[in-house]
Amino acid sequence: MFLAGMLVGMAVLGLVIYLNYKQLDVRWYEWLIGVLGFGLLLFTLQNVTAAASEYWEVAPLVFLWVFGVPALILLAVSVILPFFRHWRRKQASRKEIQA
Amino acid sequence: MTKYHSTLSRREFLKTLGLGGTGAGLSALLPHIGNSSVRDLDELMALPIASIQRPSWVKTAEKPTVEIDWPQVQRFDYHNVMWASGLRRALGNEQYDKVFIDARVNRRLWISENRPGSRLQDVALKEANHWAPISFLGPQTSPTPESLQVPRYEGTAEENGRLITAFMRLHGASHVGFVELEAGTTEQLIYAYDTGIGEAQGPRLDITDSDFPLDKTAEGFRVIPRKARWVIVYTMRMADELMKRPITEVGDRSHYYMYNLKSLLQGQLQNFLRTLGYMCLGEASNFNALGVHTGFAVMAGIGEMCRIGHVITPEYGIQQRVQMVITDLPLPPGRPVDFGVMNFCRTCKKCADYCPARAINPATEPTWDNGGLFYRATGIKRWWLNEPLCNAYIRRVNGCATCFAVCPFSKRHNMSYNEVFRRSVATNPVLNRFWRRADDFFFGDGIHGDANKFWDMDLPPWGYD
Repeated sequence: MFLAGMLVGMAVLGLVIYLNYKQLDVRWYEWLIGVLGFGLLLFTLQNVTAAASEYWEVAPLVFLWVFGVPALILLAVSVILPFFRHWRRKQASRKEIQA
Repeated sequence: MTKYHSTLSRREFLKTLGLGGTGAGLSALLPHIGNSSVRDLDELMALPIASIQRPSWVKTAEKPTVEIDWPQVQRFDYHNVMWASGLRRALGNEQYDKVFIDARVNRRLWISENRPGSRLQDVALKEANHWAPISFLGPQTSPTPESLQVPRYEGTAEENGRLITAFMRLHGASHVGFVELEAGTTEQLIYAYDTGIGEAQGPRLDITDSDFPLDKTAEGFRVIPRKARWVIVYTMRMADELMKRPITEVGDRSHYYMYNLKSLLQGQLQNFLRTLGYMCLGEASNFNALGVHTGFAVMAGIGEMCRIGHVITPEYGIQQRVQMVITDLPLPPGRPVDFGVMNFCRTCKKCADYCPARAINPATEPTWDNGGLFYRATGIKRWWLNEPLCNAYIRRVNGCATCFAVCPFSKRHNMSYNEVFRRSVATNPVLNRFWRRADDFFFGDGIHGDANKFWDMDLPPWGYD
């Protein structure tokens, strides 16, 4: 748990530094979606590994599909939205310059 | 010399016993209690193993969740249960004998067919029983305070409770709880007649004002002194990986090896209490004796009664054996607990759905009506099993317990899903139907397929972590 907490902390710190470096604007709901997705991903990983350690044969796969896929979708949405907005803003400014 | 706490009498008591080095030895035996050295009984009682922390969603209740009409509860005659003479009387001699012929035929056939979990090595596993001598009065081989010429141990009920809990957990018990015997209520849970040998009628259990317990089995009675007011109820956890393979010899071992351990543990507890200066009346049977274990476990707050009449605990679900002894050492009585099991059983019914003998009642509501059958208790509102059907099936196939395997509570706590499930059942019964469906969806029937795989597993000691 300590190691997982440290890794999560380092990842969040890295993310914030990266966002500042790239000057990406992240809205509150994108943070929310990201946190939800990340939480669901942790829940999935914990249950998949624990179910496997309990010798369940099908349950780990079911956990992977039921919670893992939504977790990845949420994470993808939370990542894509700021980049998409950033890209559109860039496009718009480029058009303004061209005009 | 340093004195610890305010326990001069106990220190002296221990010193007299020559147990000065107990602390160092105990801490060496118990790596999980850290580097602390135990110097006296007080320090043993202060260890984490001396108390059992329940999850926050386990609530104590004034009454047990199973309804009991105490004036209607008659002390039960163990002779009537299926494991004694009940099955023969319910089926008749011819059918009864046929059950055992079927069992022998099935076992031989399945060995020759190499049926998974029922091969010769699996039969050998199940039959690897070894029992310590077990009796009502105990081994009586440890010194008494009189023989040591010291006063007996004295402590408050709470101190005694922690002492017994620490001792029991050290020796393999999972839960420890206490019930005070009260005339008209909990005393009714003591059997009227104790367990006999085989199908024979056991001795009468008389509760009298005698100063000492008596075991007069040859004369047909045993005496429980009225001053022995406290019941110690304890559980022994069973291995999940065995239990998840029902209707196999491997699966049935999960019950037997805990009964083996019980025969040892009970004698140790009886000797422990004897040296402290107290009586400890044990079960004179390797399996079940003295009183209604489920009833005592419910009253002690160890768990709740479920659809099949067993105890479900918040920690291990249905996967434990419950045992008991009676003592005159004052103990703090527990209170029943409520973590939603009775309500969940109303909607779940998974055990009834998967019972291969169709012996489990699938009704939504429990009932007071026991059908007037001689092998059923009175004054309790429950889901009555078809006991002869259940017991005959268990014997025919040399061990069943499918209901244990499929129960949604029969999961370990490794998965956070289970924590969410148990918390929800305890706090939000509206979702119970959803949780039954979720259990089907994630875990199917809950049974682990190939019983032979058990032999290739790298399991921890006792088969559980």
